[in-house]
Amino acid sequence: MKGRHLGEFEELVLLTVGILGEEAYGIAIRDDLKERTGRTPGIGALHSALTRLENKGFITSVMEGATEDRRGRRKRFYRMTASGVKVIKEIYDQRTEMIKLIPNIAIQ
Amino acid sequence: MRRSDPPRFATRFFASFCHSRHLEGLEGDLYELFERRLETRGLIWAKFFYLIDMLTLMRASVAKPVKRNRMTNNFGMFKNYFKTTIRMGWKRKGFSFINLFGLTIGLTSVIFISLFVQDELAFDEHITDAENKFRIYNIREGDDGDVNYLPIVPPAFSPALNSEFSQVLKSGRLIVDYGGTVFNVGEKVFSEKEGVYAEPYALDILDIKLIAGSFTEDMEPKSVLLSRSLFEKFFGDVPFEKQTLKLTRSTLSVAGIFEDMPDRSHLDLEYIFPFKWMEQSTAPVRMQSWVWQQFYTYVELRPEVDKDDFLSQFRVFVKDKSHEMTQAYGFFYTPFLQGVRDIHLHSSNFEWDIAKSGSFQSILFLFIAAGIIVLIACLNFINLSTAQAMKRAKEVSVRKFIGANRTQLLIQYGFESTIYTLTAGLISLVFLVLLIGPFNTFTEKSFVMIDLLTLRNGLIFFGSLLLLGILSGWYPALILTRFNPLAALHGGKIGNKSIRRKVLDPRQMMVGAQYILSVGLISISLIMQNQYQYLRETDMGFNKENLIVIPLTRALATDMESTREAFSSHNQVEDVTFCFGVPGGIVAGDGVYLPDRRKNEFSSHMIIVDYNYLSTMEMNMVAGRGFSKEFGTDPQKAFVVNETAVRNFGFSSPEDALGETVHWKTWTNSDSLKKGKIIGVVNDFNFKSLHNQISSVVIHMWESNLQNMIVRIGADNPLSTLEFLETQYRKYEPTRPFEPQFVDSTFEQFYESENKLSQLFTLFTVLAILTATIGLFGLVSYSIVSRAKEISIRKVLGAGTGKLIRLLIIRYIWLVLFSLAIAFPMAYLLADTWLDNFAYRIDIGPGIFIPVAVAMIILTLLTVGFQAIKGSMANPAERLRSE
Repeated sequence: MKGRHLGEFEELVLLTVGILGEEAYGIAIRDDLKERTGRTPGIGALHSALTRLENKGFITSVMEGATEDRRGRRKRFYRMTASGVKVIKEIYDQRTEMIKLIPNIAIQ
Repeated sequence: MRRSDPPRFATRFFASFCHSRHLEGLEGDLYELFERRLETRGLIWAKFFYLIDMLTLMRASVAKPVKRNRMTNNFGMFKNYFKTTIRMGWKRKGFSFINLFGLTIGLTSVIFISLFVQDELAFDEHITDAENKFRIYNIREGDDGDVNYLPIVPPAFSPALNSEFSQVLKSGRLIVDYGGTVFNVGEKVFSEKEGVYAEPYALDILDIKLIAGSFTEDMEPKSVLLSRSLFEKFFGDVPFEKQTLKLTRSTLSVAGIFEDMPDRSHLDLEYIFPFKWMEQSTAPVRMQSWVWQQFYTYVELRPEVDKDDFLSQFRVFVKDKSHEMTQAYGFFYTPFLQGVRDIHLHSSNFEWDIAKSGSFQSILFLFIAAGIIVLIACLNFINLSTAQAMKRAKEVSVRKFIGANRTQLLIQYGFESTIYTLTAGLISLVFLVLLIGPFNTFTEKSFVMIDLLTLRNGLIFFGSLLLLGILSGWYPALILTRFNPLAALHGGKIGNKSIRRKVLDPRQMMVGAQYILSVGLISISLIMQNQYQYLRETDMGFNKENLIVIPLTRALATDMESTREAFSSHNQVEDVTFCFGVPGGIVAGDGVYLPDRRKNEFSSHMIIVDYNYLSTMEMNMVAGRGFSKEFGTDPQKAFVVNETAVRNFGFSSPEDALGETVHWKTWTNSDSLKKGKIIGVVNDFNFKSLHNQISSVVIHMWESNLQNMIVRIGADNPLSTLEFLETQYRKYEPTRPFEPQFVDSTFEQFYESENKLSQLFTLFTVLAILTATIGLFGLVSYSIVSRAKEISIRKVLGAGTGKLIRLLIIRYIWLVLFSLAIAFPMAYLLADTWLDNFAYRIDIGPGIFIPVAVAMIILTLLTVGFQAIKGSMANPAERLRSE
């Protein structure tokens, strides 16, 4: 599994990219994370997580959509790749499987 | 319009740090956040968080890659260039030696000369506001055609400048304390010479700084300012407190101490008397004179004043005041301004100057000479490098094949020549350290190595070494990298031929240039030497050898006849005379009336003598007779003039002038006239430096104002004669120092700087020729080696040794002849201009040029011939077999 391992923060970022679909770029991801988890990642931490995800092949990126408040800089939009979707599923299955094995926890 | 931006420096820094792949997206994100925070939290917080965000982005995943690869590459290449240079240099020892030798000599010369020049140019840098400060000098033109440059002007100039001209801030006068002063401090006696009478304004202008005491207009006239070192010499290391000094006839108090004048100051003063003192002892009328030229006058203009405007106004003013008066004396003058900082280097044609004067021209000459040596050395480098192009063709070709482009190869060869110049530079620094002592002695400067190690000097030095390396490297580099690598590696005829043809002709030209430069240098230095020889040996019109001048003190002058007897009582003392006017020393300027010829005065120099003067000096009478006791009236009624005076007074021959009536306004009372007749005409004699024409001289007897005793001694054992003179002197002056002066040595001093110039110039000439010859030697030896096969084949086919030698030499002989034809006219013109500085000069004739031509041809024959003989004597069989 080495090389495909995901850290907790990376996992959250990957999920957010998936949730945002077409709209996933740096600031949007940051805002969405804040909204859902209540924590505001630093732009540096976020960027490095995104870079790592990209290197692992879970997301890809394209540059487009320059706006006035970005001084004409384009946004880097991220999108989940097939292997990204796959790894999320694997994690989900694994966790569900494991949680089930804990006694005294009922899962509906 | 944007209202506000995030800190620019941060943005720029981020851009320089961030990998281009991430830059755009991240910059955009950062801006977007900034804009949002600007809305919600305000500018300061927005900026703050912008910085924080940026800092969190400083991580390896964002950063640009370090460009390590490219740097190592370059460095490795230079390492390789360096290694190649060292190896090639080691392999071609002769080549390296010749190059380093020439460059080192050239650079050493240039360093020394630059030091000298820098020092000369730095004179009077301590004077503040120098651009507004001037010394006034007059160009005086006499009716007799004499033109003199005089830094001494009439006493009336300065007061007029101060009162009549609003442009003038201040102006002040100096007058030299002629003959020096003897100071008595307790028991000790000091005879000092470097003194003046000065006005406070003059000291202000010259920035002479008082350490103690004061110097003002209304001070006690009988006082003196001493330099710090003179004060310490007099009193030792004690505090200043109005000490008193005794002079022979009076007592005076020390009014103050001034800081010693810097070495680089045009004046070197040890003591200064108040001008008032001198003024008091002079008739007031005389102090308002527009005729009497004796005062060094300095003036400081207001900063906004235009110098030329002021000068033309002043000239009109001076003309108004003075012309009528001076015309009566047979001359007029025009004032000029000389910037204080120009005094040192631009006063060499002045008479009666006390300023230390260097010669701008000499400096220029020396600088050019040193430049020529460097040039010759560079040409050596270029010639030898290109001559050996073939040898390196293979290396260059391999480099080209591996992928070096032209630029890289050019850099390589530029680098190589720079290594040579740098090495030569370092060696010449060693020479600098070794030779600085002798150099100081010779130039009478005091350079200290430590002072020379400034950043500025270092930058100039290494900068010029680099420049020199690049200049001498680019041409060989062009040649070396030009050819087709395939042909060169092939070693076939095509490559060989094409290289030859391209390389040869410019090289001939460069050897020619070296010849021209060397020939020019030799000719000029020979002409200089001949001129100085001429100056030293020319007939002065009197015998300047073995003449001793002793200042005539009051004690000596009380009974001159007994003094004369006392000093004559030695078998080696031939003659003794008392006079005012020593050739080489001070000769008064005055004038006489010849009432039968014209109303106005004739200006002339004047020498006051006794009966013995003409015979002691060994001057010859051209007509009439000298002074004689047989005619009892000679002291009152006789005048002797020189040949020039005869001409200037308008007589057709010396005999014509005899018996002419002469009137002279006496010095004691200008209303009383001494009336007499011309009794004799003496031959022209030089009493100034030979830079100047002889002017009119009137010689006569007058009871007072005798200032010197001149003793002619025999040639045998002059030291014991001097001792005798001193013993006699002691009888009259027990405490006063005995300071005899030799007339011939005073004349030597006139030419001292020129002698030095000539010596230096000769040295540089020798160095230049040495460099050029050794370069030629290297070139020829290489060219003969490379023609070895050709020579051998010729020999096999039947050419005799003699014919071969001629074949090898003839080209160089033509080259020499060609260079001589170009160099001689140039040298002639240059030397001729220089000789115009002298009133008495040699003519440049074939006597100079023929020896130079012969010497150059012989030198070439020797250099080339040796190699040619070696080349053509070799056994052709061995040479051809070696292939």
